[in-house]
Amino acid sequence: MSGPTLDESADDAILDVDGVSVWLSGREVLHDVRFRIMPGEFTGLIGSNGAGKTTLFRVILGLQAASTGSVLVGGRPLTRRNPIIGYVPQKIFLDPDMPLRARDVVALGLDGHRLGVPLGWGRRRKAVDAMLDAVDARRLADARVGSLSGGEQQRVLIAHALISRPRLLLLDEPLANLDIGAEGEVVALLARIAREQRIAVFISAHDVNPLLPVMDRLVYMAAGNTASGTTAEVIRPEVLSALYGQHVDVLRVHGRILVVAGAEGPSGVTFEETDGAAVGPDIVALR
Amino acid sequence: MGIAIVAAGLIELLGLHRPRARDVATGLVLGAGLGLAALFLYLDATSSSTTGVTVTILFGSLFAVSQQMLPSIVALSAVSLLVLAVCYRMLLLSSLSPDLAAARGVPVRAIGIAYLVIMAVAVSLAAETIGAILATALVVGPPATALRLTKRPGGALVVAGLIGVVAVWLGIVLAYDSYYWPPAGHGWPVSFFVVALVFLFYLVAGAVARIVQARRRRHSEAAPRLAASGCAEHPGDAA
Repeated sequence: MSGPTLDESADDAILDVDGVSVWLSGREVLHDVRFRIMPGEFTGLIGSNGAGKTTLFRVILGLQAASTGSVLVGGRPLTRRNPIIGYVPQKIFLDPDMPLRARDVVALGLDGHRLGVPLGWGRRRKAVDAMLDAVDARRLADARVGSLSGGEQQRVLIAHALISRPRLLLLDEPLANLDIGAEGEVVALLARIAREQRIAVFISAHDVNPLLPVMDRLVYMAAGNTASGTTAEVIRPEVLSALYGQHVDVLRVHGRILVVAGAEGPSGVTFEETDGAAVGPDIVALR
Repeated sequence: MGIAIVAAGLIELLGLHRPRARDVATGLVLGAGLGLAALFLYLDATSSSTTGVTVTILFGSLFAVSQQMLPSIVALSAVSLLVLAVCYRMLLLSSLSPDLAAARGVPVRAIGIAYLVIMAVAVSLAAETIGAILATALVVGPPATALRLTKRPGGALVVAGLIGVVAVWLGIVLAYDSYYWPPAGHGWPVSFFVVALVFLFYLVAGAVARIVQARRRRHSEAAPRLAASGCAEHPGDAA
């Protein structure tokens, strides 16, 4: 598929995925994935459930070996526990009774991989408070994480990932199970982090629409294939049809994008296509 | 106890690291630990005890813990606490999210094995003292009580430990005193008092937690904006 535009030098890329394929139990889950993410860029990883988004994240995190191809993070080959990467996993399920406050979760982002009991209370506390302020979650500091709402938990997990000062933030479906208000808040927070701290944000989602206002580029996954580029470059009938291996229409409705699998050729109803910049797709599940 | 530890290791190696499977593993380790403690109590009781073997195995006997066993009990407890302290943060991170922990370079599986092993040790020790049937109560009760009283991870550990110690010591005192109670001339079993106290603490903690919560709610209704402004609340009121 159309690779990233090669106007920047590869050395500057914070993440360089080059021809990665992954075979899992005889099935090719990822096929020749290639794209690049520059520092401070906001990139969406769009695809329906089972498209291989989590597998790609696991490869980048060093938890899953690629069958072919290479991944460079910050110009270096992959290692496990890469301090450059901050990671926010898919929704966590915690017992509301679990004695773990929001501030404990954030503190674990600082030193959760270390042996022994934590020392240096004052310094830790200050760093955690500052981080909670940065994600507007200071008021949640002493609440049990299990009792927080989905959006609040995401904020806390984002603070957890950011406190180790990563340069690339990976978020696995952070918008799943959030109501529309919380969704917008989390997206705005992430956009601000990318812009102000020049942290590259790489976020997976099954719906592209919430990310449209803030996304610099996107990587679109379908059936193990990927296409990457700007929204205008990727969300086009020709590109997506090739990706899915069947005819796909892209409908633009009030700045939102609808991707629908159709019969051969455009259907009877025609929608006026708006300009690429303000497009927003609602990805209707494709079968 | 050796067998309990091996069982714990095996269970982890079988690959039970999905959340539900963990509960199964926990139950199995509890069982293995109890079984082992029963064996030791049996061997010990048949050679020395004056009370019936069955009674000793099921209900244990704190007073029957022999002088020779004491050093090994203390040593095993110390090692368990040390392992817990060393793995503390990794355990917390793993229980928050195994994926997250793995991405941070935590050896999730090894940490899981270490945890199951020290749990097997703890169960075996509990069974030695208060017996197989009631050991579960001593292992599960104090932490459950602590969860109602504090929301700090470290605090919960300390509170649970204290509750366990207080329950056992108070149980000993009551058992000693019970010699003068109604069916005169027969002391009541220690294990009964320990478990009764653990349960009582659990109920009291529930009531305390409810009162604290109600008071806090009234407090936040009276000054709704104060809490939202992010000012630190009284740090000690939960602990």
